[in-house]
Amino acid sequence: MDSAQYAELFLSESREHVSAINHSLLQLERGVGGDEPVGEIFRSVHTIKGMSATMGYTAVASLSHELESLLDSVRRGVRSVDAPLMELLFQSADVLEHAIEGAVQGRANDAEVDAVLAHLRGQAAPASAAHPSHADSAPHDAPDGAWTAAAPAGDGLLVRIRLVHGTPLKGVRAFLAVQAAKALGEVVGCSPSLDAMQANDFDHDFAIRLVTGRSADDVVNVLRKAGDVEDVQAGDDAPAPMPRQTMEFNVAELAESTPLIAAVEPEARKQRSVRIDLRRLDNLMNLIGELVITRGRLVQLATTCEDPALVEAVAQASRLVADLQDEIMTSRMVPVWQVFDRFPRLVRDAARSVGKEVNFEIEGKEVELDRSMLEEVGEPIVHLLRNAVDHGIEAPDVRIAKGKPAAGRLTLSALRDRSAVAIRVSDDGKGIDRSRVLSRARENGLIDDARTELSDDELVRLIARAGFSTSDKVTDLSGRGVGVDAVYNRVRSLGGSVDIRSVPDEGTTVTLRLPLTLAIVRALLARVGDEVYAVPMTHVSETVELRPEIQRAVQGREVLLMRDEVLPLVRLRSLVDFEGEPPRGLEQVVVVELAERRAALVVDALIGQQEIVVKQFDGVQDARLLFGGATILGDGAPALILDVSSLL
Amino acid sequence: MMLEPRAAARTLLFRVAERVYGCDIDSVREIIPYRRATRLPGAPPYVQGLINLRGTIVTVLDLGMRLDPARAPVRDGSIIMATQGTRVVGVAVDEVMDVQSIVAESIDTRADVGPQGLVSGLGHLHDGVVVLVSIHVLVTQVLL
Repeated sequence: MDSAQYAELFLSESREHVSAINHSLLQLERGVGGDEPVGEIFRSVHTIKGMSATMGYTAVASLSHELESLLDSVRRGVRSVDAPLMELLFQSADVLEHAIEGAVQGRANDAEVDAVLAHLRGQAAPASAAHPSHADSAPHDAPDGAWTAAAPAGDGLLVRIRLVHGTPLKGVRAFLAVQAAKALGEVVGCSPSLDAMQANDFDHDFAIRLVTGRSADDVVNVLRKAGDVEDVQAGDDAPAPMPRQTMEFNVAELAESTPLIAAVEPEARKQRSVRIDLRRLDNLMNLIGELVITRGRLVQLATTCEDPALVEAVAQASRLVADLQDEIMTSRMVPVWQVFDRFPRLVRDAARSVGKEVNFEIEGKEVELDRSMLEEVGEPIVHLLRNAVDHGIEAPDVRIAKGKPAAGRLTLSALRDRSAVAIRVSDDGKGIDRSRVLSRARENGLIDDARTELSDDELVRLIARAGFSTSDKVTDLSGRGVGVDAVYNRVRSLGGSVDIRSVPDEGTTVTLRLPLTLAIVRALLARVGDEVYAVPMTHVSETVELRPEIQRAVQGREVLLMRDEVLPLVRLRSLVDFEGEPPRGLEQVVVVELAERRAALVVDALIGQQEIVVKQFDGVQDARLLFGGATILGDGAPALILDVSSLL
Repeated sequence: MMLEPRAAARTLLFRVAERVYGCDIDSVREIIPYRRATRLPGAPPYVQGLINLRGTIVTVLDLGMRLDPARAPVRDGSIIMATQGTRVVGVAVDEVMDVQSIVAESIDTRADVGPQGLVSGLGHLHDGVVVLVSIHVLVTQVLL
């Protein structure tokens, strides 16, 4: 491992901790969870402190150190939780995040850090020399001072060692004590890590796990004789408060220098996971994409050869490729909370800046989505949340006048729905002002002057137009008219769809439907003449034969009667201007749907379902925006993928 | 309009119908045998469609039809894969001929030279004239 890889590990773990800190800060602010949020924040800050000191990121380390001191005084009840404190903590979390990013990129933002440092130092209780214990650990603290080091995970005797206060070279002393312990047995865990200790980054005590045949008393006696040791305690205490991440992080580093410790890290082993560079996963995804295409080709060739042994072998290979593809796709799936977890903070800040009260809830955090899809969709969701806070939810006095609770409700939910994920942003605000949209649309000449009403569908189409905004004032949040159309375009380019439902004074719900992954989708292949088109299965609800008895003409338009439903008929033939031979035999109907809109797409024949690899191509001036990409068929020829949202 | 005489540029010569054209060899990545493209519905007639070049989807244009919509489409010959920045475009031609150093000289504005700027100049061959086209202009005019 080189230092760049460490930096990446540090960055990703620190980000997780900052996100956890923000989460707990919000809890603290709302007064839920009792002492727990402070404890959580403390632990995250502590972990960041340890890691940053190991990495030599002094700005981050000193910032987290001061933050830790302040939190400590809060935890001990010396400092009460009030608005200025919350403001300072939120600000510190932001600066901490900047400092982390800055440190990794090698650019310092000292001014910002120094300002907050000064602030923090002014706030912390002055006499905090005796570091208190973690609230929920160490039931048998020595009266003259508590054990501050977390118990390392794993089997073996827990040994806590405190060095004499003010000893010079405490890192070296600690190292010697660990060496002395190694003489008694096997040291299988160490907290803080050896490197952190050697960097003097610990208070005056540390803890190890020792697998040994000796008795606890023996161990205590031997270790007391190591230089400058003030106190030794052997025996288990309560479960460790220290999050695992520190250990994970350090294990990698220790692997090179001290194999003894790294070799046995039971907690890390139990996890059975490794970190993989995202680029590797992307490469795997590309390769499997190529393999899926080649498989299609192989199957086709094998069928024409009519050699049963070959057909059998190809079928076997196909199954293996399918399994491999499943595994790779699954390995790329991550829970949505990885992106959603930063939204509560964002909504809070947005609500504050416009003087609104918002109760924000997230549902379905554990729903999984392809990693790159999740990254892509983050920005559109931010747009929607900001829109809801800015335009949807009313100011508290307005809400009270309407008989609503002063605080608005904003819900972000993720839901797995067949081979798609539905992400919904729902508020209980004033709803989209239809008359406003209508008049703005008239002003811009987008609709007929005589129109007085808008359907939901027209509404979506209008507000999704580039630059369309009904907001008179441009705020910090939105109103520049770049909201909905940006969301709409991004989601469409990801192969998904947007649906908006809005009821005056009841609220607005925007639903994004996204395929689980960007690259490979299941599609129905259909034929028109000698041309093949792919329809993503996400949008296919069923297929039927186009029998004359289910066709009707309503007001000059062709429709299809299905059960008690009337579906508009769209002929793919005319959509793609196919000019060849007319279809022979019964045509087929693919019922396509998008949210609640459905249509009957008529094709010559159905070829079947297939996994296809979505490839983008350069758009051509003046060409119709009917297609969401292309794929390569078994015979090597490209086939176009229909963008169902453009049909409906 | 007269252009300043320029230094000789290495130029790929190719034929569409009876006329010889040339483009800067530096913008040519490779030349493949003609193959039928998947039609792109709604696209202008000079867009032949999409082909699969080793897993990448490439748009193929008919240079002849771009210059003169009345021409018949190229249906055999070669496809010149030209690059412009990160984009690749295929240009269908009847025949790829030669690489020569050509000095671009002038454009006769009275000649029917197709869309603005696509023809960047004329060059002299020992047995005739070559129409020099700009791949850059072709790509930026046609692709989004």
